Amino acid sequence: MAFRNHIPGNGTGGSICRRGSLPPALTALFLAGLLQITSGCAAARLTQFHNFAQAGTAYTKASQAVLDEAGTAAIEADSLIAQKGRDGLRTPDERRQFIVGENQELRKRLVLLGDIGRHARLLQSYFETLAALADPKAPATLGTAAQGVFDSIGGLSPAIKSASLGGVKIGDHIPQATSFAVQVFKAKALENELKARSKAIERELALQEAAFTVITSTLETDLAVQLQLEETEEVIEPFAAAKDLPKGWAVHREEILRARVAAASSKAAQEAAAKLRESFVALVENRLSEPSIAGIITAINSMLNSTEAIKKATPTQ
Amino acid sequence: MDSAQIYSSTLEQLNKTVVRLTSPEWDAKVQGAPPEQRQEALAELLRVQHARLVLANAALQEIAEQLKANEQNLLDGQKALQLELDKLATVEAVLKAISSLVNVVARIVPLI
Repeated sequence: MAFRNHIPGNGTGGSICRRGSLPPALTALFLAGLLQITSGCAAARLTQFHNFAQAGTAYTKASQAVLDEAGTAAIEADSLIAQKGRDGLRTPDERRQFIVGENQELRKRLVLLGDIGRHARLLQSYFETLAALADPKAPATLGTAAQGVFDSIGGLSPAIKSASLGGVKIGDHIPQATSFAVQVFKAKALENELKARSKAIERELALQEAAFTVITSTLETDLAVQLQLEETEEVIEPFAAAKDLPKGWAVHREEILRARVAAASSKAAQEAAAKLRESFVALVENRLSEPSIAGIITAINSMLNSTEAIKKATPTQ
Repeated sequence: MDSAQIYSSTLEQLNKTVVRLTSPEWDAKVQGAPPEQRQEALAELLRVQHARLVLANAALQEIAEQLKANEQNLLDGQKALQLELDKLATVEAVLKAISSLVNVVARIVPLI
């Protein structure tokens, strides 16, 4: 089913004052009430951190779908080009050498996409640890856990920063650092953790934003290649040939034309990453609001919409 | 221009080229060309795709010097190629411009 992965608003609504599942239709109502609920509750801080951790989880799942799509599009575009151009290579040795070389390069690309996915999952773990630290009864060992997760994130990021994809170096796209001050929190373990690492985490979120800017651009090229070759082989050539058109030709034509539009509008992932970063700063400054959470949910749903539209409209996938 | 900019603009040109070489317009043009040129066009499509993948995966710091050393040839090659891709006047002219740029790229990263 299309758009089956939509994130309902309740995904970020893990308040200790009132938790529960809401259907998507109630998302807006829930979000409208969230601020009132939390402001009237002694556990507002805990709610904010839970909300953010859940937004982080939703982001990680949606971004993984985009990364999968980017890997698939790169391989499929390359396979279609290889098929199309195969007759341009004269000998079996030339053909073997070509395909082995392409496989090597595609493996490198997949490793980088995998690193970006792991980076997002580690950030998700970090946000879950922060949510646990927001509880005044949090065990002292949680601070060590946060440090461990942070070290793992730091271990991955140099490889991502120095990598490039489709013409753009990821490190060159990292947005400028945001200036912010950590608020005073009653949970001292939380405050200490944020003072120690929140600025570095903001940079790691900026790295996600940069990575998705680059991935989007590469994905667009790979999809354009794939869809153009399909358009030629499956729409134009059958139409030009003096034979009956294949069954479903008109439907397939529409799918390809619509997919071109979807492929050109796949910027939602970088927007979701940007919103997550903005919300993290708001969280640390103890001002995370209902519009911020609503903004993340909207961006994540756009990301899922775009990915689903591309999947639906690229029938070979 | 610094090496990062030369790198990005070269890759961007290779991306634009691969998109053009897979377009229905280019396909129609190649179909009307002599068999030798058709084969050459297919071979160039593979070379551009390979160059695009290899350059995209290369670490900038490892190729910065070669990029700088070939800066003028790369920039001239990009400009000439884009002109030919915009015009799509003859298959021969486009292939010549592609080959010229990819040959410079091959001095920077090892291509098959």
